[in-house]
Amino acid sequence: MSSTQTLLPTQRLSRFLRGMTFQRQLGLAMAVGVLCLALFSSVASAWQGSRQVRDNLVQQSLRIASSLAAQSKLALLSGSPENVAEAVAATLAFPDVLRVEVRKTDGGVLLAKGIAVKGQVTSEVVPGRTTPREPYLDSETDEAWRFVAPVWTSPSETPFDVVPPTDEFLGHVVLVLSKDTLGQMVANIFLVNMLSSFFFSAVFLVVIRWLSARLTRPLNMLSSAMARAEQGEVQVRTVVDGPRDIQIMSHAFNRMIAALQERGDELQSHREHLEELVRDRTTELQLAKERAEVASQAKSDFLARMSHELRTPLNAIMGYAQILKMDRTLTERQLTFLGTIHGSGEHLLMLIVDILDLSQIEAGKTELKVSCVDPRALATMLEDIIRIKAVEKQLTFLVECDANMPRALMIDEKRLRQVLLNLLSNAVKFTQTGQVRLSLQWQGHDHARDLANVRFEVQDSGVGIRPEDQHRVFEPFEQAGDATSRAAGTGLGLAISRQLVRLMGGELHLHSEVGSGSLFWFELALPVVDVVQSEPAHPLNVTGYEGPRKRILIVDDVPANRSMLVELLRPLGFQTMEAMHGQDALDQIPATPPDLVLMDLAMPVMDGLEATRRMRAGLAGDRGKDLPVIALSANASSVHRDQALDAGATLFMSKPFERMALLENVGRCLSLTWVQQEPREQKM
Amino acid sequence: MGSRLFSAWREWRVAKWHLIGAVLGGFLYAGLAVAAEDEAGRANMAVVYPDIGEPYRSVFATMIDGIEDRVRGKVFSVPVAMGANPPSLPDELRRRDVRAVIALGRSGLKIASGLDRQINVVVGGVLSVPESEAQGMLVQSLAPDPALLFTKLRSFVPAARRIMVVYDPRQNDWLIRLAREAAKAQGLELLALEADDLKMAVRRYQEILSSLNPKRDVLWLPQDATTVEESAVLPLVLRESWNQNLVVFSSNVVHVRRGVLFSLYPDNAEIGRFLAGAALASMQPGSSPARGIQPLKQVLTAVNTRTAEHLGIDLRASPQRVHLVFPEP
Repeated sequence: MSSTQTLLPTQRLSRFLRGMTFQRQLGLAMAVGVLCLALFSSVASAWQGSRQVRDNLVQQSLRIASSLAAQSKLALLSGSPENVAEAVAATLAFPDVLRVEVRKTDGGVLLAKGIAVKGQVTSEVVPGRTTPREPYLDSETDEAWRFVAPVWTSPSETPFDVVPPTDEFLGHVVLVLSKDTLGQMVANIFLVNMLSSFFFSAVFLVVIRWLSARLTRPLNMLSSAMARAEQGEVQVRTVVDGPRDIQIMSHAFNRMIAALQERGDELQSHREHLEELVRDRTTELQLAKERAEVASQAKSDFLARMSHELRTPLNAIMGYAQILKMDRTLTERQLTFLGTIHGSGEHLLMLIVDILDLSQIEAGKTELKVSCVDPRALATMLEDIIRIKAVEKQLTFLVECDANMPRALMIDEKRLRQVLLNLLSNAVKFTQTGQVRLSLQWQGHDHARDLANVRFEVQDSGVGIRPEDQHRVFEPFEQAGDATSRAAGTGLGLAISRQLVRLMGGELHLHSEVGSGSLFWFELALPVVDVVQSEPAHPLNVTGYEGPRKRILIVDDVPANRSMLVELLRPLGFQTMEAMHGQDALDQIPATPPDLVLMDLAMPVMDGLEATRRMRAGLAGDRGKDLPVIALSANASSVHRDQALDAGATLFMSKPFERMALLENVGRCLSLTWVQQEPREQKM
Repeated sequence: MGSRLFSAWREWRVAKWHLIGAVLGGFLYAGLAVAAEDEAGRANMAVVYPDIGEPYRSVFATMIDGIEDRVRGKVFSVPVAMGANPPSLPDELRRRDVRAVIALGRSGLKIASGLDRQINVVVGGVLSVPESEAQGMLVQSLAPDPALLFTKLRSFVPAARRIMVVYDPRQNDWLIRLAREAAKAQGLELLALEADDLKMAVRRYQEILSSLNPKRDVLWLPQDATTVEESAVLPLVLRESWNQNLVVFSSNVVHVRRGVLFSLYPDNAEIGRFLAGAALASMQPGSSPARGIQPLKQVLTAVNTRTAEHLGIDLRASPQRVHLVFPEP
């Protein structure tokens, strides 16, 4: 069964009407209504008319019969039809009178005239008490009526009669009338009613059509105007015409369009203004950005330069301090001074490193170097470092590592260590009594991503941080508390730590109460690896090396730096050569090929990078192509490292560097076996 | 001349008052004697009459006026509805010591016929009464006395020799007897044909109309409910009589309007007076009141001038007084 067939009649009608215009619907409704009205009124009036006509005809016929009955008395009394022949003829002259009969009391016909009508039932009138006195309709067929009028004598009774006169039944008159007139009149009534109804219906429909056209024309115009407005035409107006309601609608539409247009213009104006404003602002922002970038670059450059500029003399200071420390002839007091010099240098270096770190982190130039780390080993190392300071302050230092902690995690060990060292250093620094605790807690394992959730906590029982200061401690160059309570430090540690924790995917939190201490903690989701490749560090106290003597070319434009390296290397048995710049080095290498080049990068005439590249290019002879080159630079950024390695350097070291680090690299490049001696200090 | 006329007028006025005084004095004297009789009679007399609408109410009212005129005062009048028989009436009559009742019309007759025999009953305002009922009372019929009718006939139509009438013996046998006597007394021939029903009557009329001689025969239409049917027979008779120039007279004044030559009709006030007189007479001690039915003698005359003209009769030539003329001018 199709969907159309399953629709209800009302739905079909609704669908049918939906496809039609208002005018057509109105016309159809009026046409149907008027047609029904015409038919109904015609039928009703014809029916009513036929009843009235019938009643009139019947009454008229009864009167005719009655009259004839009166005129038939003498004929019936005398038994002579002639006495009534005239009246019968006159009665027959009436329209529709088909037959007249004058019958005697016994039913016998005295006189009968007219045509015989079939189907008429003849009922005999028998005189008696029940004999009707008045004429009546005896029978009726589709074609004719049969009226009977009894004929009685009519003696007049007066109060003067002692014996009331009796009336006498004389016979009856039968009148047969055709219904032709009735049918014709009914047909005429129906026809006239129908024709007049249809005529007025037609007039009415024309008027309705005209009126509806008056109604729909402005509606169509309005609809058309709306469609044009919808398509985006701007100057759309509709003609105000038609009935008052439509005029009001049209006015409203025109006003609406005008208002929309006004708003559109206003909007356009605003948009243009906004675009202009945005353009201006963008330009300004662009300029500001460019300025900021320039400033940022300038800042970075400045920091890098400053870092370089500071590191260079610091390198010499620290280097010589270390060299002097190796002198066993120094007195304890001199050693103390040297320690102070070295410590101050370290602090200065740390400051420089911190500033540079923060600068690089904020500039987004810091990258994590993820490696496989054993958290327990890390904890142990941190414990080793901090415990000394804690013991010095007579603090209890606790290290807790969760038993479920994985054996190896992928993380940038240096940065994590930096954060934890910073937090622990602060804890020790700001705790006078009590304890400092380092806790590594395993929070669970994300099997889907194979990540271990590790919570790092550093807690102390120190002075605590006031709530109003808690948000400031993470800001650069900020320290909690007042000036008197501030400890020594750059004030960059927590800022750097927070940035680093964020870089590692966590957030550094602080919970602290004044007098109860502070708790710094952060959580990291770290990849878990199965094997830990631990490289046990063996602190070296090198006094020389085994095997033949090695020659090292020191290339640096700063004589102090060259001298420091010479002083560092010669006591260990190395032969040294010095070059003031790259070109100088290139010139010397062919003549006296060294085993290793320590190449400063920033130099006049020819910098270390260019010199290295030329060496690798064979401009310093074949020996220069594979000669180990350790690039030394006061610029500690990874950019400089990469540049150096790209240029062909074997290793890169940032200045100032630890003696042992240098020696380790030298030893690795020359495959040396160091001759070691028990160190006097843990660290230089 | 004017002054003489004025003095004559003044003399006439003086003489007139003397005359009036003498006449009134005479009447007063005679009246006082009658009045004494009437006073006593009025108190013992009652009138029972039909309580009926017009035009009959006026007829009976006029009769009662005549009665009261005769007895010179109001009488106890009892209107009785048609067909009613108030049970309290005999007691009321006894209480009033009524000794004579004037019964008017059919209703009055029926009431009176059931009254105590001690009460004298005088009946009026009826056409005919079966002779058995009329034995014990005086019945004044409304049927004009044939003698008076025939007198009028002879006066208006001197050529009339034979009077033909169709009657129902059940109603008018007594009248026809009187008519025969009257005709005989006046040298006329009466051909009275009996008819028991209307059909017979029609046949009689057809026979009469087909066999009469208009120059000497006349047709009399009595007050007969059987033979004088007004819707069919009367038109037949009138038509034929008109056509044959036959003189037709009637006992019914209505027929004059429809075309008969003349009729006698009741003088109702006079009837009342007559009835009152008869009632008073019946109450006289030792009197033997008249019994039986009497034809109407208190009559007036109505003529149809157009019919008379058609028949060639000059009514003015007759010394008879005419009270009503049709067609009305």
